[in-house]
Amino acid sequence: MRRFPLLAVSMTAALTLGACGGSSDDTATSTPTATADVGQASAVTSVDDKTLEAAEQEGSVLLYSNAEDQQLRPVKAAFEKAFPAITLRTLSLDDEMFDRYETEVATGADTADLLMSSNAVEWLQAVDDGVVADYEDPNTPNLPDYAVLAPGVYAMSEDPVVAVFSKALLPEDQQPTSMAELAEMAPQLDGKIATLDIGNAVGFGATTAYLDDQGEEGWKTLETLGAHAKVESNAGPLVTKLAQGQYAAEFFVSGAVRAFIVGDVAKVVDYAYLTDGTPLLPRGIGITAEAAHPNAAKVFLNWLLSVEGQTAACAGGFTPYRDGVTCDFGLPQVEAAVGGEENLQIGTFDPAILEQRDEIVDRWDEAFGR
Amino acid sequence: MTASVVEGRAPRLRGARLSTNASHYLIWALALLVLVGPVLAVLAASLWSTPLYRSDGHLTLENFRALLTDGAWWTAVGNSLLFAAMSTISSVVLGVTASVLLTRTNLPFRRALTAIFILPVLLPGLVLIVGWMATWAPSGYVSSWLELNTVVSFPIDLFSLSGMALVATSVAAPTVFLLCRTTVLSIDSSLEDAARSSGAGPVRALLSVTVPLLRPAITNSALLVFAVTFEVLGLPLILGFSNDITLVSTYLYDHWINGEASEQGVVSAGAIFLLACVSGLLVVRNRLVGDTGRYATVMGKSSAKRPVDLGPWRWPLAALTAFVLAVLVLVPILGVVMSSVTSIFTPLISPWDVLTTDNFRSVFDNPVWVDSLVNSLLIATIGGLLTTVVIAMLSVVAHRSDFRHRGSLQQVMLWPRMMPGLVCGMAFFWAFVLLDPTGTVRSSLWGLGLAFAVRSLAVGYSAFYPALASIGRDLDLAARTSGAGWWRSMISISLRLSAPAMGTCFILLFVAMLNDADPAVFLVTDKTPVMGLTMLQLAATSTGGAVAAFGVIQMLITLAVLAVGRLFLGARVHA
Repeated sequence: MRRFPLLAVSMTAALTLGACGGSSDDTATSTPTATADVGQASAVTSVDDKTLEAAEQEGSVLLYSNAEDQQLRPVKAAFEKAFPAITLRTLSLDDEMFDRYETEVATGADTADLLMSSNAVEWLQAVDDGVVADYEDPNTPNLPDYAVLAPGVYAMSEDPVVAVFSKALLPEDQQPTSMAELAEMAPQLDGKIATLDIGNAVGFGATTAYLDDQGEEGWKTLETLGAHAKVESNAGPLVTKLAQGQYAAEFFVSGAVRAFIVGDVAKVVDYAYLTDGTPLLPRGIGITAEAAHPNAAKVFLNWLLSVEGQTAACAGGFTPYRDGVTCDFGLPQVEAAVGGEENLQIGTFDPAILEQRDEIVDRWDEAFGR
Repeated sequence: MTASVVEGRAPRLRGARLSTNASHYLIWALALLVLVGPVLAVLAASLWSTPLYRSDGHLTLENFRALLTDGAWWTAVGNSLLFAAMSTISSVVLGVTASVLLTRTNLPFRRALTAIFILPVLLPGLVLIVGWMATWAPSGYVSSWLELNTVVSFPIDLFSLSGMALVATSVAAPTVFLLCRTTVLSIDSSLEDAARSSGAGPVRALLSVTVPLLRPAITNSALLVFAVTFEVLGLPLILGFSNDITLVSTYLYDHWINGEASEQGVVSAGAIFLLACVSGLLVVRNRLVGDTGRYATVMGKSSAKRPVDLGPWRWPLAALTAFVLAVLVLVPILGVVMSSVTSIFTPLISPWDVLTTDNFRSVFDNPVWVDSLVNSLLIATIGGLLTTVVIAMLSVVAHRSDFRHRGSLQQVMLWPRMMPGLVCGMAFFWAFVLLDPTGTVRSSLWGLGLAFAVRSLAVGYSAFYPALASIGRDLDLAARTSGAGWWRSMISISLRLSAPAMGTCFILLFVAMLNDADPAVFLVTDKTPVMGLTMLQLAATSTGGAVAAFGVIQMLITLAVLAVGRLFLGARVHA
């Protein structure tokens, strides 16, 4: 079996060094562990007693979320411990979340009190449609500007996309540290680079945030990469093919994959925060206009945005951004890894995205030969 | 006095006929309500300028115009036609050959080979794809091993149209096998004897008697496979995406997920297009088959069935079958099992160094996943049984009665399967507003079960159709002559004789309902998670380990259900 790395590497003649990088005795972990200053927590700003009392009367709150069940488990446990009288009910849904909400409202069915999604386009349309209650949470003055995404929509986390590498095909000392470096290597890695499709909400979000920061230069890099890259519909096939050695390097992969790159998997695969290409995608959360449990929803939102809630979110693999939250995967760690605040590419829900969307998608499709 | 007796009898007979007729109308009306309700919702969406939940829309044909003038749509239709044709031809050839070879001949090890052959039917499509990718992908474990250690290599690129057709064949061929097998088993050996006494050899007798008698079963399973492969989404989404292969299903999915809200109308128009296609295919099937009476093989007289002697061909044919099954079934399933017991299954690292039980533990540690497993099992067993009974009733009305609208029942049973899963989910949601204004059924497991059942009707019905065609109508009429009413004769003759088809129907429904996902997207609640959806979400975001573990658990459960069924009901799955 130890001959397999040789086979894989022989496919890319330019990369014949370090062929045994994937051998099983190499257990070095690749997790970027920058120690970073997490800042000071500000004072707790809770909802008023009347809201809390009404919330406890309501007794439960229903959240539709694009996060997976196992990510929400620590959040649910911590919230119900803090507010024993309120049950957090969660349902994992993907891009069809907003359609489902509007259909449920139109037919008078029970529906969500809160929506949580990273899909900027869907959120913008939803805000236009009056899906979200225009509500200001008491945490607002203590949150960074980028945390308020739209009236009533807050970022609960700023989740980065990462670059993922096959250590067998691309040993650690040869891995690029920036999009620019990856683009330089692209001709040698022809067909061995992959990324998420622009049709995937994460792919679109990462691309727009990256271009927002890098402008025309960024397009040049994407066009160079696109000529040599393959495209996948979501993170599952991306990671599977990388693990098999079909791909050597991938960029703009949703940060959720970091949770899998541990133990045995880390022997073959590692990830990095590229200094000029680690967009952070805000995961928006908002209270719905038709919430049946509006007060419980306010209590949950307030708690989730607090330092306590952000700490619980960290345990679920979300990326908290508030000062004073101790977390190995927090925003300060990403900031340190990319080399400072000026390199952070934080996504927004700028309504201009809706207008530029077709143009961006068309140019991207052109660049990636789709 | 004589006159009064005669007069007294006549109204009673007419009364019986009336009540039979009334029951037919009742069944027809109920079926239409449940089956056509969702179709109406899709039709409305296709003719409405905004999504149905908006009140500011108006009637329009714009959606159809936009769809039919989009070049990308016609490219997708072309790709889908090619993909469905390749899958249908190869699975029908393979499935029919197997049904004759494994049930009517003295092929060595035919029982073991049969058991292996039908394994892919018991697995969710998603899990099989994980298995195929892990082993036969260009850099999969087995193809890499072959390339390194032997002179041969796997000839087909899994990420191409023909690679996808190959994966589809590995599931569709055993389905064809199951659908044809019932008919093959019912064929009277004396028919072959007649050919042999006219001088035909055993193989000639097989080809000129048995195979033509299979025509209803073959056309029917070809229709089903063609329809299902035309609509399948997971396969092109996972395997075809990197090579930019767009099928009808991925085209519609992309427009639903990524399009503007108004594109839901276009997607619904696409669904209506597919419904029209399947209706056309059904007419073709009925034309090709013609008078089903020609295929009646179950008559009043029974005789022993003797296997056909293959002579010197026995062993070479057995070896060939074993080889095909090893490539199409055993290797991919080995891929599933290895993915489920390793933390990472890749040619880059020895699997023996990374063995783990974590994948199974993570399934059982997660309460939502355990709930989804239990819910899906409830839906599959109870729903599967009830649906089998319903399909049996609908099938006899559609094919054994003189009911004037029986043809429409054949149509509506196939329609729901042709709607893309997501559209189907949306449609059910709207249909439930009509069917159940209180909303209690909609948010319960019964609602989900009903949606899954309606979507699986086409598969179950396909198991019944050839079986009913092979049962001579004389038998029903004999019962009627002896005084039985129409229902009585159906229950004690036609349905009893089609018990093996009922068994096949239940198994296909059990597996389909255990794994169905897309229609649940709009109906699932936090209290009713189902396995298909859980697996779909897992597959999108992680490597195959946990999905494979789900698949292995599900395969074991299904095998256990089959074993129990065989033990208690005597329903035999494989000959």
